[in-house]
Order: sequence, then structure tokens, then C-alpha cells
Amino acid sequence: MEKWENELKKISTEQKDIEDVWERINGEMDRDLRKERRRLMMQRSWIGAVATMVLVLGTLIYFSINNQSPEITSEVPSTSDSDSTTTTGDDQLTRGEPGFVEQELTKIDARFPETKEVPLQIEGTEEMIAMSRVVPGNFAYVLYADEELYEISFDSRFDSNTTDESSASIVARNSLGTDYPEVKLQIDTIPGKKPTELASEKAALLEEKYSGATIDSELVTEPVVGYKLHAREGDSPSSEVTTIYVLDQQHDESTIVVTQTVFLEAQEGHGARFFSMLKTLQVLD
Amino acid sequence: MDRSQFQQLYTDFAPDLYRMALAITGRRELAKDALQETFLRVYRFSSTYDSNQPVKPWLYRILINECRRLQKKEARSFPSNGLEIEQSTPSREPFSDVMDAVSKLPETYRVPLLLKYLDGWKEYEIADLLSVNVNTLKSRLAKARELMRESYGEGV
Repeated sequence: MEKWENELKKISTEQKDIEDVWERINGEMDRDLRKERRRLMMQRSWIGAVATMVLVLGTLIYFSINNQSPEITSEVPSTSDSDSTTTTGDDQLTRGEPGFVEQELTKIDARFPETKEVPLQIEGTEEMIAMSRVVPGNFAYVLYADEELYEISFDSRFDSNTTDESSASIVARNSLGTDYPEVKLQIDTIPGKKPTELASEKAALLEEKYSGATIDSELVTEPVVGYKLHAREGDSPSSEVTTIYVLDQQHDESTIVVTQTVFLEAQEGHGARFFSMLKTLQVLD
Repeated sequence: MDRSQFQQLYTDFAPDLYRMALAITGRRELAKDALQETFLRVYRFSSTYDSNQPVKPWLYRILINECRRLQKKEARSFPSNGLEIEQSTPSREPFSDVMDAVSKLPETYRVPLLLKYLDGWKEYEIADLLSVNVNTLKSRLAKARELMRESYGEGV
């Protein structure tokens, strides 16, 4: 074996370089994934627009063939609509009856897809995030949550057939340990109390929890319509920050209260994500 | 190819490919870029790959092309008098002479020589990878050895 051949075989590389490159590749793959999600979203919007145009054109053609104006014919379905509403109204199962849960789920399935692309605005840019549908057992509301970053759970004491009370938690999966407060969004459905009453109660609780801190309260329309209460423990990066939303719209006679807990440093990141999720919240009738 | 399969492929092949890229380009950052671009291409175009074919020649073909592309790109940005061997890593210094000798070889001789003597490829495999006749390859290897002997010295 020649001298150069021997030396050539001794060439070695550093594992750290290989790990560095893997990190870079991972970053690129994540960027690819986000681009793909955006592309799919655009594609869906485009398909939706085309479908709407086809529907409008179809309707126009239908009316022109039948030589009837849409105004006249629209009265017919409205009559049949009210008839069918009455019929289905009679068929509606009430809480506690067998088949009630299945009936409610079917209605929700028809209106809300199981996953949805939700816009997330973070650090001045907007990206689309795939989020999963969250429905509590009392069918009080629907919202979409990022299951990749947050764990979703429901309070086990709840029984959908007997009570309206429910609690859902959306907790960050990557906890930073005991030095930082838990990053969490809790959604409670509280029966028998008005939003105003609950807003006062929650403000008092916040005052008690963060003694000496200023409690900001205001009426908001985003991410939800209702009362917003806001207070923070202190000014350090790990200080707990609590925001409570008491929703204006009730479900039956229950009020929905959202309690968001983050720490000061995480307000931008987790705060923005919770804001996006809450914007999808819809109270069900 | 899902992400875990891809990571396994990286674990299996990245060390050898990186060593090859380092020997071809003679520069650590360029070699890292070539390795990154190779695997990104593999990930993005894995659907076009015929799974009945062996994966190793495919990976090396992409890597060699990437090394060429990056070297040309860099030559356009920073014209220089040839390749420079980075000395920043102390563990690589004993090999800088042999790397220097390799870097002076024309690419036609450098790549076959590295595939054979650095990675242990068979001659017919190299000929297939580089799409050349085996006899052509043999003569290129003979010339490469001769040039190495001239610039690096003979004997063990």
C-alpha cells in the first residue's frame, strides 16, 4: 500500500458537523411543511371559489330555464323549511334521552370539520396551522386547538347526559419545569350564572391571587366577545400572567369562562397561539 | 419516505458521504453544505426514486453533483488559485498533506480515486456511477495514482 493511500484511509470527520447538518436539514424540512400547508390552504380556497361560482351559475341557469325569478321561488323553500324545522324539532332528542350524544355529534360533524387550517399571526408573520376540533361533552361550544403543541383534556367529573357543567384544558406539551408556571388554557362552562356576575367574581379572585397587582378589565370583541380581565404576578420573565375571558353569549343558561395562564416571556408565542385558537371558538345553541 | 425512515437513512450514510464531500471539496463548510443539499434533495424527490435500485449509488451521485455545483458557485463568487484546505480542526491537520495532494488532482481523477481508496468502491461500481467504461476508469485511476505519487511521494 502506498503512503498516500494509507493517509487517505485515516481521514475522519467530526460527529458534531454531521449533527449540525442534521439540525439544518430538520429546519428546512419544517419550512417545507409549512409551505405545503399554505399551498393546500390556497388550493382549498380556490376550489371553494370555483364551487361557489358553479353553484351560482347553476342557479341562474335553473331559473332562466324555468322562467321564474329567484324571489318568487325562494318563498317556496321557506315554507317547506319551516315545515321541516317543525318536524325535526319534534324529533329532537333532549339531554338524557338515548341517542342524544350521537344526534349532537352528527349535527356538529355537519357544520365543523374535524381539522381545519387556522391562521396564526406571530412575530409579524402569518402562517396557517392545522388544528383539531375540540367539543366538550355538553356541546356548549366548538373550538380548534393545535394538538401538536398542546394536550387537550376534559374534566372526568362531567356527564353529558345529566349536567351542563364542563371543563376543558389545553396544556402546553413542552413544560419548562417547576420554575415556570404551567402554560394553559382552561375553558369552563358554568351553569346558572350570568356573564356580569361571573366577571365580578373572577376579578375578585384575580385580586386575591395577585395581591397588589393591577387588574385590567375591558369589553372586547377579539378573540371572543365578552369581558376580559388581565393581571400579572410581576415583571420577571417567569412571572405568571393570567387573562380571563367571560363570554357574552351563553349556552342555554350557562356562561363560558376561558382562563389563559402563561408566563411573561411566553406571552408572544403561546399568547399568540391561544389567541388564534380562541378566535375559532363558537358557542353552540 | 416518512421522517423516521429519512432520519435512519441519514444516520446510515451521512458519515461516509460527509467524509467524501470533505475529500472532494477540501473545505469543511462546503462539505457540510453539500451534505445538507444532498439529503434535502433526497427528501424532496424521494417519490421519484425507484426503490428497486440500490440507494447508495443514488446518494453518491447526488453528492458528487452537489460538490461540483457548490465548487463552481464558490469559484464564481470568490475567484482563487485552487482549493484551500481548512486548518481549523486540529484533528484533521495530520491529513492536510494528503488532502492537499488530492485537491491538486483534476476532478476527472480525483473522484474515482476517492471512491476507490477512501470508500472502497469496486471499479465496476465506480464506472457505473460515473457512467464511464471500466477500461477508461482503470486508466484514470492509474493516472490518478501516478499524480499522487508525484506530489505526495512513494512508499509506505
